[in-house]
Amino acid sequence: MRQQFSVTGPACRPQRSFRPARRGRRRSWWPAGVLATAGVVGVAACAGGGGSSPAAAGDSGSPATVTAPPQLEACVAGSRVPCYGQDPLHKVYDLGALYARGITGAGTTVAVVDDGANPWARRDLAIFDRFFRLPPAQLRVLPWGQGAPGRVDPAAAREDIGDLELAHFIAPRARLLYVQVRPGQGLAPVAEAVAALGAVAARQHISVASLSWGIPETAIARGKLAALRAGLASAARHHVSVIAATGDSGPTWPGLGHRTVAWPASDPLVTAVGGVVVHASASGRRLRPDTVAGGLNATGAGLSALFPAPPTRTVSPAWWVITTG
Amino acid sequence: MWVYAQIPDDLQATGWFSVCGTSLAAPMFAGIAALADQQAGHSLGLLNPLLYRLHGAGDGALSQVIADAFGDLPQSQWLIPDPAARREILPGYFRILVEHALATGTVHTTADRSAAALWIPISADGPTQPDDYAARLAEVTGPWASRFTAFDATLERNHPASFAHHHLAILAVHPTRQGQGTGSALLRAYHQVLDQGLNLPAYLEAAHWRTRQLYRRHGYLPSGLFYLPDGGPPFFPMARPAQHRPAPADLPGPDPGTGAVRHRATAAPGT
Repeated sequence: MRQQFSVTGPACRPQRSFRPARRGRRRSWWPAGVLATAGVVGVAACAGGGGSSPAAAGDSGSPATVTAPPQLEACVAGSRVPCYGQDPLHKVYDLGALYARGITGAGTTVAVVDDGANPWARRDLAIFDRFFRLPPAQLRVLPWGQGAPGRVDPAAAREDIGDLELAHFIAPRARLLYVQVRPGQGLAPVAEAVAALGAVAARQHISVASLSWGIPETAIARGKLAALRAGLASAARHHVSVIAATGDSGPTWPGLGHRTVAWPASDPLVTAVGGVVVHASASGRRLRPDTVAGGLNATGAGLSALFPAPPTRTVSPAWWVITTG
Repeated sequence: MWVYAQIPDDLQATGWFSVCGTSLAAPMFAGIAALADQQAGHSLGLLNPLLYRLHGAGDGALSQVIADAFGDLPQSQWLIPDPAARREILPGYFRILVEHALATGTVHTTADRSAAALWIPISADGPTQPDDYAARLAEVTGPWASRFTAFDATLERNHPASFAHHHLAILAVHPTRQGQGTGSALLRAYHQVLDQGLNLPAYLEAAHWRTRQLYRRHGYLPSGLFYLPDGGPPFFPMARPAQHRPAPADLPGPDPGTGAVRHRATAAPGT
């Protein structure tokens, strides 16, 4: 039941065509990227598209044989979606100004909780750092769970290293804790992963946890929710900010015929993150406002069936921003 | 965004991959949260209440801009003669107005939040006050509350009745951004809505004869003046007739709403 949301290469394309669900009692759906019950923030979701053209890396894995990532122009020409490197994205989010003040994540720890069990994370991070001129990642790998390390699933392993690299890319001096969940207690993988988060939050000093996966709310059996949420409650109790992806299939779910949102993203104990497409030049100049991803994939969105909407008093209507220039 | 992954037996080859999807966004935002933690000096924990509060803090930023723009107007000096008290109290007072406009009308601002236009629809029955206004006003303005009450009463007495219109309760541009066309841009944006969608007149109280020139250029007609009590400074009420213009097809722009509205008679000095 567990699904990882981050996809690389051609898998960025939708796995199924959008089919509108029958109209329910709820007439209004929140705009894409807005979830009913959690703080929602949009960050570049599809800064790269399908049709990746992986640069050749020798089988030896020696960093010396690795070539630099392709240029933005080549990527746009190939996939018609920009895939940015370091300079444009740092500029788009004005991170240089923070780094200049020494705000780099130093002293904090970001936990990436994943089940890809990627044994090559350290090596690939080093290559990533070299080409993006980042300080070496301070990575700690923490295997979690009873399961024996099995055969590595390439897609899951790719997901894990991507999560680590992206967190490091934004907060280059933050320590990284790679919690390698190895299911083995007979629980569903998502239950194991959330339990691992709760246990690690209680025992390790972590500041932030990134969850790039989820299950459809409708897959959660009645009566199981409280037990499932215990790990999130533990994280909140230990002052860990839990960030979860909302998924890439809009209000639906690949393979499901009904609308549903992703849990744990829908949980009020979690800050859900949707995504937008950033339109910028190779030098990081914004060409036009961000758009909600709608072509290759659509950020997860919808009304939670498990949790109430946040109190309306806390949300005031948006201002209309007038461009005067 | 490019990531590097070299995995044996990966059918999608190996090396640099372009990635997209919301779990690109999740670790990136986790990184941003780590930056915020370092800035704060401690783990921020569950972010949602902070994020909602930040959103509300935007109202506070606009209130401060209005206070900065209006702080030295004669009407503000009449409300609170003491300059220090004025600086302290006015942002809270304007926050009441910003929240009121957000709740019942429309707030326009600029991308850098250096200006604000507060528009409140008024029905033909005239303005009314929300229930908690007196209490909030007393709480915010303290010993100066009676001045504010007299101020509100004066503006309400002179507020045109018997026809529906939209009241420009506030048009404020930060002092460092004045004279650059910002006020005009905000006016044009809302007039477009009034003219093309609603076909309704607009009303405002100019705080100074100089600002009357700006409003004249935007179609407002002067209609005399009235004074604040106890020898206070004047206001220059101005009204802009409905100017129906057919809307171009698929007009973008805000919809301030046309339904019955609750609102308050308060106007701020210096529109």
